[in-house]
Amino acid sequence: MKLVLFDDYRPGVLKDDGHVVDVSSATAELGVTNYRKLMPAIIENFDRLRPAFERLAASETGKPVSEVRLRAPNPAPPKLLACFGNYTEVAKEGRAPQDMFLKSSDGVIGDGDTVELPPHKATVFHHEAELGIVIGRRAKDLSPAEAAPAIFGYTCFVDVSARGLSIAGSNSRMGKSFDGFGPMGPCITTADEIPDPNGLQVRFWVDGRLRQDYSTEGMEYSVPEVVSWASRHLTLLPGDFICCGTNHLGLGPLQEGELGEMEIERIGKFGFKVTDPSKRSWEVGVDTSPTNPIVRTGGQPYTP
Amino acid sequence: MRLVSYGDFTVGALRGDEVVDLSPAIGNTAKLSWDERLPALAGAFAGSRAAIEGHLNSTKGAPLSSVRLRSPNPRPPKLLSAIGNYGDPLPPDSPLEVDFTFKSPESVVGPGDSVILSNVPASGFEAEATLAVVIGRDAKNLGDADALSYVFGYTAMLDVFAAGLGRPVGTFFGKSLDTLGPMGPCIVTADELGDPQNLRIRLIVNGETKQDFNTKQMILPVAGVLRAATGIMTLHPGDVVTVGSPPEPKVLLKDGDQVSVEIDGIGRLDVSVSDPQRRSWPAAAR
Repeated sequence: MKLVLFDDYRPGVLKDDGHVVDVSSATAELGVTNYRKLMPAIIENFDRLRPAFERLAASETGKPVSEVRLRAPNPAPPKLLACFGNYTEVAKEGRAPQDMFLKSSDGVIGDGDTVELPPHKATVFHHEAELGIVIGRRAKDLSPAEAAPAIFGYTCFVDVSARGLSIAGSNSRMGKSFDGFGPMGPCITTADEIPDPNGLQVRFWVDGRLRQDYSTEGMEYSVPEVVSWASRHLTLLPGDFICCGTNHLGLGPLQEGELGEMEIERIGKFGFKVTDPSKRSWEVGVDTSPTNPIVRTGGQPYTP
Repeated sequence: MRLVSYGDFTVGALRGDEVVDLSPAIGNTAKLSWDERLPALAGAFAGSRAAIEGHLNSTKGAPLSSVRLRSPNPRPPKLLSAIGNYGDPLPPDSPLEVDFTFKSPESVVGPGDSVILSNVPASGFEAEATLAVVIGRDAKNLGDADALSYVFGYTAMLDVFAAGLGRPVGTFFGKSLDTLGPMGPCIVTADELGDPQNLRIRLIVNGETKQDFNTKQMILPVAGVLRAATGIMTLHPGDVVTVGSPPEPKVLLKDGDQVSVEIDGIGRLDVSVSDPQRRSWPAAAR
């Protein structure tokens, strides 16, 4: 099932025919009035809610998705974790140690929203298109084999990244936590529809030109290993969000006036606008500067 | 006013050695889930303060010793930690005025709780005492002049860091492990605390003072820290920003330690340390 939030953050089911059916009549019993808490509450109670969602989706036509305003499907996850690296991009021996960081859980925006670049003196603002994992239940100390039942679903996520804002010797990653630096969409596809999350093609375009085009098969640590590692360090809650890292091949600048679009198979496609009140400009296209991690590590930028 | 959470996360206020249940005075806020009460109270405090004070002055309390205090803000929506901000200033060309990292809201525990040194391959668990600022209003792009007016109150925090996890240039993820963020014992409202730049802070381990410093020594004052943080992101009522701690000495925790953070005007936060594996760490810093 594909779940969305739309218009005034009301919950909906996105059907295969491209229509969105309002399921708020089924979620009223949750008593959630804060839109930020709604999707975590739906997730926590999903086994009970699902039959009603299915009935509504089967019996109602709904509205074409083009006629609603899609919102981020999980606009304020209780926690937003992000993998540090996590794609095998250049030939090397062994795997780098697994690592993560926290990104602001308030920076999420949805389809059609705008990323506003801050005045900070970043060397560049990169798009990192990533598979996002939505956690389905409270979880601690899971092995990779135990991880699958803790996953509720998947979504598209762009980890917008200001480079060059790190303090020497620190990897605090604050350049990823500006307001709006987390476009998410268009829906959450439940895990039952994605049997192999490490076999998905991820694509990202800027103004219609393909930049990133990679398979999640290239993760150094697979989706179950990602969830396991996180749960061995902290308690995961329903609605928590983990983005799996990006393949840095094909990264390039995001800048004033551009349109970013992202698609993952079985999930869907969404887009966002970029505005820069400081009106800076960078060379359009795949980034060849040393601030691009793939260049820095000796690999070649990707040219589709 | 000195606000606490106790028992099943009931919101209360301290009056001498008593705690007064504020539930009858805060309306629907008392009916919210345990984690939403303090953020809601902080956001609505200006409007509900008179009713709360009236209740506080007319209601009998319970002895403080008879209740189990919790963290006064048991799950802040965001918990942002300034790194350093004492000692050597950052180079003048640094791209940020002060560095920050997030701690997981699930790291927060309260007075009397245990800091659990979990079974991860850390090189040590480092502890530092810090002043924690609780936000009272939506805050973005604050200036130095008005930043403090967005503060709801202040509390004490023990910021513990499982060092050496992950990659060599670490991400501070080791600050986010469960239980590594004790907070309390109370939130002192901003008006009652007064000037946050003249507070003595001590970290005491097993009776021995390990850190003893004053917020006068902060490189960026609280207002500057809030300006820098809100230049990056919007802060909301109940969000917490810790404002840093001297980088030296490194204080490593081990099983059985009794740890206190004491801040002038706020009080003393006491926790114990538990390491199920009873590891021993080098006596000196890494």
